Amino acid sequence: MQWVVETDLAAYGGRVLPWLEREPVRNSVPATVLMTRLDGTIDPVDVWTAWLAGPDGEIAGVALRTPPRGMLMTALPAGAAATLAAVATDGIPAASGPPPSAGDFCRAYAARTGGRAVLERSEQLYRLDVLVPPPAVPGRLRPMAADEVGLLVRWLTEFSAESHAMFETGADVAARSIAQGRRMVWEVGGQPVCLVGFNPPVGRVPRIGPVWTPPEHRRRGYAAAATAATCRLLLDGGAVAVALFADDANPTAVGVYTRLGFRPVTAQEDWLLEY
Amino acid sequence: MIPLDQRGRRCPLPVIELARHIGDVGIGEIIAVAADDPAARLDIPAWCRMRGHDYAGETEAPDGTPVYSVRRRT
Repeated sequence: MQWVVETDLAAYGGRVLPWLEREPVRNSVPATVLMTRLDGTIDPVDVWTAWLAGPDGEIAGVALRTPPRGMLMTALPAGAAATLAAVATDGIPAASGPPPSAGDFCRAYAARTGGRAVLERSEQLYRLDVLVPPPAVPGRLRPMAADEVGLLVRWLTEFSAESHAMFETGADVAARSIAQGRRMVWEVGGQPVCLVGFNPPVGRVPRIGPVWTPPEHRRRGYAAAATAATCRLLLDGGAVAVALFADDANPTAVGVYTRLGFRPVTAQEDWLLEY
Repeated sequence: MIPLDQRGRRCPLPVIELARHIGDVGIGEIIAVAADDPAARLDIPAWCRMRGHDYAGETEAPDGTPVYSVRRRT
């Protein structure tokens, strides 16, 4: 099996998206990373893309990199993570994907470059088919308005500082996400108290995220209410299921999502390369 | 302008340290990252795009180390 590096992003999307959509939850992250670069939400600068050609020439795996993030990959056949490390460019700082792919990639890359592979974060991807409504709390869900870009940027910046996660916090992407109707808030007495976003659907399965409640509004059930209302909206709008991520190290989030009816589907790991 | 010395550190550490220290400068001010890992040339401008800050270009320190300037926007 051989990795094929593709430099035309639109051609790459046309080739791999139908394959990724066969497993809409497991492949949710690489699919939405690709879709948001193709639909203009995020500028596709320096994106590196490759697919693994199986014995029959069919796709057997997908890997891509959007700097400054590391290598992002689907589940891979045995040995393919190591061959990916051999064709990857210099200077890859990290990798994400289901075990054992991401760890195998980092160990092989570290062996090539003299570094060390370190597991940074372990998460689960969850899937909801039937929503279990949470206890009622005051407030209502509404889409964010065009004049709330500043609020969204502030919340995302606080969220990224608290979680140390790599995601877009700039005003341009925030404005586009609001314009697409993909950023919702739970509002109590006219005041936004919780953010729930969602990504474009993969097949007919959208993925919730980011979810952020500022510290002063926590422990009141707002995130559960807002997530449930967003799931309702998506399911009523034609989604067959809803996906989301929760960090294994965050039992509060795991408890909230499990009570809403989310069930774990697969693990996802973030690895760092250290030198 | 405040300097951030990342000589001898490999990516992602210069980017992680930049994220940690961007709040040390005011909005509109510059943080200047000295980093000799060649990967920083791609990753620092990419981090600026991701976070909505301005990448203000590359200069060279007296010892030849590349210095990447970032203007805080938010």
